[in-house]
Amino acid sequence: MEPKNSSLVNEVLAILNKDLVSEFRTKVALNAIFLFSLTVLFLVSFVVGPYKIRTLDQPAILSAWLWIIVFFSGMSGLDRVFVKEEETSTAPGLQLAARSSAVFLGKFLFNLCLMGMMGAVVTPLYIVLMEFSIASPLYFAAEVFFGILGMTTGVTLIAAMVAKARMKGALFSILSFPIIIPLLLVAIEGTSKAATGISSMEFLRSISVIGSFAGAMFVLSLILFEKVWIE
Amino acid sequence: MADLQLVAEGLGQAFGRTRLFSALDLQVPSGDVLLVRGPNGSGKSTLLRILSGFMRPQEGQVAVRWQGKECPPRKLFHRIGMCTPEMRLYEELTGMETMAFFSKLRGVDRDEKTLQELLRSVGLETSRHRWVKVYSSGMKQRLKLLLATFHEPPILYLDEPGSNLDDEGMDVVGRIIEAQKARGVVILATNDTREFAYGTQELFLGQ
Amino acid sequence: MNILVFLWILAICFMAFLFAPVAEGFIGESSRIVFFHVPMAWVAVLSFLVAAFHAVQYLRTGQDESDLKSSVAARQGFFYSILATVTGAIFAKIMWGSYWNWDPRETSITILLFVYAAYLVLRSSIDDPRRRANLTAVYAAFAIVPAIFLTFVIPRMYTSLHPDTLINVEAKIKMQGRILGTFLFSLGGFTLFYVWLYRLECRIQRLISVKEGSHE
Repeated sequence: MEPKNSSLVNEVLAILNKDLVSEFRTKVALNAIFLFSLTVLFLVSFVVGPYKIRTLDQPAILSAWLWIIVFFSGMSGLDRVFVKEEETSTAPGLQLAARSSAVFLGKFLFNLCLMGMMGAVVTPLYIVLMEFSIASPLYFAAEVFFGILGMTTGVTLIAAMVAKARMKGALFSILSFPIIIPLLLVAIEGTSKAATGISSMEFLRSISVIGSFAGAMFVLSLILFEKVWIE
Repeated sequence: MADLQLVAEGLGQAFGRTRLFSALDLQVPSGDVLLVRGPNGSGKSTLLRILSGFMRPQEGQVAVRWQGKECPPRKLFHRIGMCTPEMRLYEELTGMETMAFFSKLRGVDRDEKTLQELLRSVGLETSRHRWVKVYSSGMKQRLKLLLATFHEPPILYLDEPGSNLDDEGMDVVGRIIEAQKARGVVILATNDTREFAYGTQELFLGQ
Repeated sequence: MNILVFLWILAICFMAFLFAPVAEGFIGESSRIVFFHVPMAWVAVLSFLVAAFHAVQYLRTGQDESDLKSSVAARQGFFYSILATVTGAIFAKIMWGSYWNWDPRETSITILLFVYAAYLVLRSSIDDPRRRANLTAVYAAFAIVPAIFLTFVIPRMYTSLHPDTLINVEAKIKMQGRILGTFLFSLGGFTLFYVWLYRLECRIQRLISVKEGSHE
């Protein structure tokens, strides 16, 4: 009946800003993600360190572990952005005041910031600790970035769903894993190839698969989000 | 907003085996305050959720008639104001930040001076830069009432607005309801006898 | 209807073991598994499509009937995907010596199994019927994207141990004569069986929900 006065961009930025301020002050998700990723990183490094992995197997195995760390780190903190709103009963206020799409976009960007920070810290650390030799560093970095982007597009909607279903924690991982696994497979393959050295053609093919997956997830999330957010 | 009307037809809702209400018809025109009374658990909050669009009723429907057009209250989410005990504030934001956040969301972008004035009108000016976490329950309630009304909503839903408020706080509630009557409609669910006088229509649930 | 299904299944067993010859390039009698494994995998995927379709219908219309149909398809699909995975593993053991080989197709059907399992876990973790129907429908609809990727994109990216399937790059049917005949017969039979069992459970669920509703 009456159109809204605020623009979508302003709403998204307002929500993103609010979540960043809020997270910075409480640091719950940040702590969870960083603590988890660094703990597992050091665990893997200590446990595997003494053993020598065959140079042939190195890229594949080390890639796989990296993405395991990334995935489970994400699982330990990416649902908070929605779960907190439900637990502290601030969700209804947000449902009234903000557009559903703005809520999704704002929180998606927030999750992206979290994962981006984690990736930027953990990936170099991992490379150093595991003595991961990388032939095409630029491609490698791009694969990690796109993989994280893809993962975030997939799990943000699921985080919203988990927040509405009362049993949190394990439910987030259970629901996310089947959805994300195709992405993880491609990402692991992509980083593994980037470590051994690949052509631009192969790189672009890998990125485009990840990109299209992420794109499809993103669009579908936007469409479905309102059904989850408002009953 | 003189020609605004909140209309409900044939509303029915059950909670498990208990029937809360059925075949409920309501007409709340502009300037009216619908007072919903009833013992705890009689369905006052549920009715409020249905009338505001948060919940779909099992039977019947709700519509807002305005300027010759009709739409479900859900379509007007961004315009309505609501204050219930189930809605809480962001504890780690300051009063000012909360106001800034919601004014940005609702597109009533006000500068800091105006927001300060608004906070003053509910007696929260001096604590506007402190975290909501340290506010007393009465202060939080006043902030919630402000958030429900500062964007001049056509319909205002209040569930126990006087909770945690002293007499001075109740004055705020009174002023809000009076102002809202001039603007549109108030749906007031309460068991607080201090608030009964505000109603122009009455609905008693839980026979 | 029941008798037709029963006889058809009986006929499948007969044909699979006695009528069709053993295919070349396979160890022993193991090629016969194609008459069972592939139809099961097919039905597992079919069930997912049915579940996803009705999920979308539910999101569009909010009819409880759609939620019912979607959840029945999910429950049944879960069992078919288990069967498909198990028969696939048995075959893998016979042919290549180990139950699991990380073959893309093997992995895909297993991931489908996980999707079903996750759906069922989600369903059991929500009490409110409307919310449950809503969220599970969203999940089923959302799972369409990885399903598409798993079915079409991933297998093309990796070479597979999997024997040439009907859905292969050249899109040519490589089976001949009796084998092809038996296979198609089995495919039809399993589909028929699925349809019959699906409709049966839908009827049961409908009766259950009517019974629960009448208690109020």
